[in-house]
Amino acid sequence: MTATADQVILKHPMAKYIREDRMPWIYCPGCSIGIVTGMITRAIDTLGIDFSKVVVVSGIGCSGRTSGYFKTGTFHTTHGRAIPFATGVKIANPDLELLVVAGDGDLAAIGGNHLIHACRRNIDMTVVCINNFNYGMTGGQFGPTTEHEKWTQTSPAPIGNIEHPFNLVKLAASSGATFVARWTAVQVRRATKSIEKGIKKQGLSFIEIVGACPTAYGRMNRLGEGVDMHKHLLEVTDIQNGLPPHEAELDYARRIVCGEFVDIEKPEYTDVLKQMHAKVRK
Amino acid sequence: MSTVRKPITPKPPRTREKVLVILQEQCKACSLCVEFCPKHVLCLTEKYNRKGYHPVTACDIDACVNCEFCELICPDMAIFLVDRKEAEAALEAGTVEEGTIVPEYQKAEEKEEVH
Amino acid sequence: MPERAMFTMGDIACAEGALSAGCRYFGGYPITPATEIAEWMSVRMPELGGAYVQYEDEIASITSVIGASWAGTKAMTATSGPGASLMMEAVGLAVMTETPIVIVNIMRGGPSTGQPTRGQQGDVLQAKWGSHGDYQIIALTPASVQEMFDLTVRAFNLSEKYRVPVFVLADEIVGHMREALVIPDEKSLKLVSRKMPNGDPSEYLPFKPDDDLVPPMALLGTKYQFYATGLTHDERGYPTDSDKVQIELVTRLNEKILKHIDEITEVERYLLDDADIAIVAYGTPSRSAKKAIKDARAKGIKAGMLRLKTVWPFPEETIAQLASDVKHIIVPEQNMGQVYYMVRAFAAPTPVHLMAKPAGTPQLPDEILQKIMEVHAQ
Repeated sequence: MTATADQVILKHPMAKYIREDRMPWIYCPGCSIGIVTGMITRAIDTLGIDFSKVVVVSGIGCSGRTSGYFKTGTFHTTHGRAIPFATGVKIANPDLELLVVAGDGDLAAIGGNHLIHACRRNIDMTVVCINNFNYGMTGGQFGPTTEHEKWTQTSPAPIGNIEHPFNLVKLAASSGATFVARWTAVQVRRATKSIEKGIKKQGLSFIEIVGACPTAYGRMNRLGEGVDMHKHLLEVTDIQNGLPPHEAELDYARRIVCGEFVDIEKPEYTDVLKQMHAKVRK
Repeated sequence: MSTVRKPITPKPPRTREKVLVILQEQCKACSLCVEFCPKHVLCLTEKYNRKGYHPVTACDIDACVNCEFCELICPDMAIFLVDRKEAEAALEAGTVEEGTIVPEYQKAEEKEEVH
Repeated sequence: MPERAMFTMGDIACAEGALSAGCRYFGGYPITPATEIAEWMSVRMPELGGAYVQYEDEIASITSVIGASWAGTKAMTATSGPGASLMMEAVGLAVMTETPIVIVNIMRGGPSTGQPTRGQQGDVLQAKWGSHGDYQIIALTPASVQEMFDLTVRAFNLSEKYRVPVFVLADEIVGHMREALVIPDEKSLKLVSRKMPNGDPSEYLPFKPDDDLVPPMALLGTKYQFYATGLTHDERGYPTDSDKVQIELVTRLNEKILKHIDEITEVERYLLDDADIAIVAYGTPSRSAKKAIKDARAKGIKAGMLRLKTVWPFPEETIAQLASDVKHIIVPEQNMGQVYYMVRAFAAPTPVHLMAKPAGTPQLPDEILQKIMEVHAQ
């Protein structure tokens, strides 16, 4: 029986921000990216901003698929290039709210250069980095955040990963980001609050969400199913708001320090551009 | 003599203003909601949905305290809470879509087989 | 602004052309010999309320140009061979998402770092074939300072009309030479902007083409809320695995340009009416060729020139027609032969002679005259 407009269909409270004709999402069962997608809708909802003025840009990978699910102007760019794309959009139209959603591989490896320069420029956008410690979409190869000796498709047992990972919070903070936070996918409310703060704040806001990739990374490193991995994240989280970013360690097995670490004021790129250009236009 | 005493004004009985809705066709049985529900309301059923997963249902709906954590933690927007009135209106009008359940209003005989 | 004249270099004429066309976003990176464009933009953009943004690399530059275009601003970048090579993936993204952008490539000695301060024409095939997959772009080839201005304006118009990246391929000599430039009164310039949708936003299909095979383009951040991706997509913009959609989309992206080849192609015909020997050239060698043709005519040899002002889409019919009207074609290029192979393919069976000079000094008029006389004697 088809319902008419005045009949009630039970819908998820955040469904209005989602392209419902693209449900169900492609994420694996137990993948944290779905949780982050929900967090973003809730942050937008709480802020009450005009969703048509929000532009979501993503890179390549599982996290990159998020942009396609939001019912606003969204763009799925090439690998690692979400940040420069978003920068171009923002500078051309500073009234828009830019949200970049991408994975650890996309943002910190191929996109690493763009990440640090965006932080340095302090361009007004919110970068949500979903860190699941590997390149998930391509089957689980190691990346710039994979821990030492961990097993992945390209760092197989018995040797494991010979490299050491970035600490993205330290990286963003030392590059000049004005708002830096880390949460795991289990701290849903706190992470949502940080995303809200990041969007509201004028400047480069970097929020790392540590998540689970049960299908690739989790399976290869015997970390359990999605439930086990999320339970583990909850156990090893140590909330330390205001801690200096260089002390915000991330050791998956032992201790993941979460919190809001940087919240400073610095002149924002498009503001400075406008001010300084005004000198010539007088 | 103990310094602890029972409060004089009893707390009003807890009422659930919102009720649980589960989109069983969208559920991927990741079990995050089952695990993280503080009152152990949820469990997986034995039936299969169209995608081959055992969707979630409420085994103990009366224990639900509307904390909404299941709604927050679900990676597929398959479980959420709606206003009681809204749910009642939908059920009465018969507009609840196929594959969607509202455990609050499921009669005892209709309760699904549980895992 | 009223009409004004300058004595300036090609690079600066190109920048002024862009500004006259309405370009208000330049995302770039310094590279010899295109640096002057960036430097000029850094002075002029603040004056005009635009933005000059210098990025960490060429990839960020071009990706940001694509972003700025989607936010509604006419946007461009300028580079040379090494930068163009870096930009190729983004060219693919612009083609697939049908984004109007202009890329200026002031070609220099290659391959690799080559000879940064010497001109060459080695990036012509790259403009069309540099990115992966089957696609069409438009490439314009100016041969004078005035043309650097005029063809850059045209580049913006074409990119907006067909929602495609347009290359302005000039060699370093044209980029750095100084000649007179007349900048027309902006009111007299015919400018084109992308067509935009005007229906109900909830019914908007971002990649549904009109009859000209070009879909109306909504901007990011408006009530037309669409999803655009580099993945193969249907009319809604949603990614799909389907063979049918892949074939349709790739065919349309190519046909969109090829269908309009007659409007896009621009050539200059010089003394071709009664010519037996035709020179097909573009950029700096065409300037030498003009002198050579004058000299040849003085010797009684009926020579003429078809100067290409567009090299992509390649004017196949024009070349075929020319081949049937002349006995020989000579192609002087400052490379090992790039446009030559295209000319040869479509001019067959008329013989096509290559003058390859992959070096900074172009073919001199005497060298071309020599070749004309050789060919004439055959």
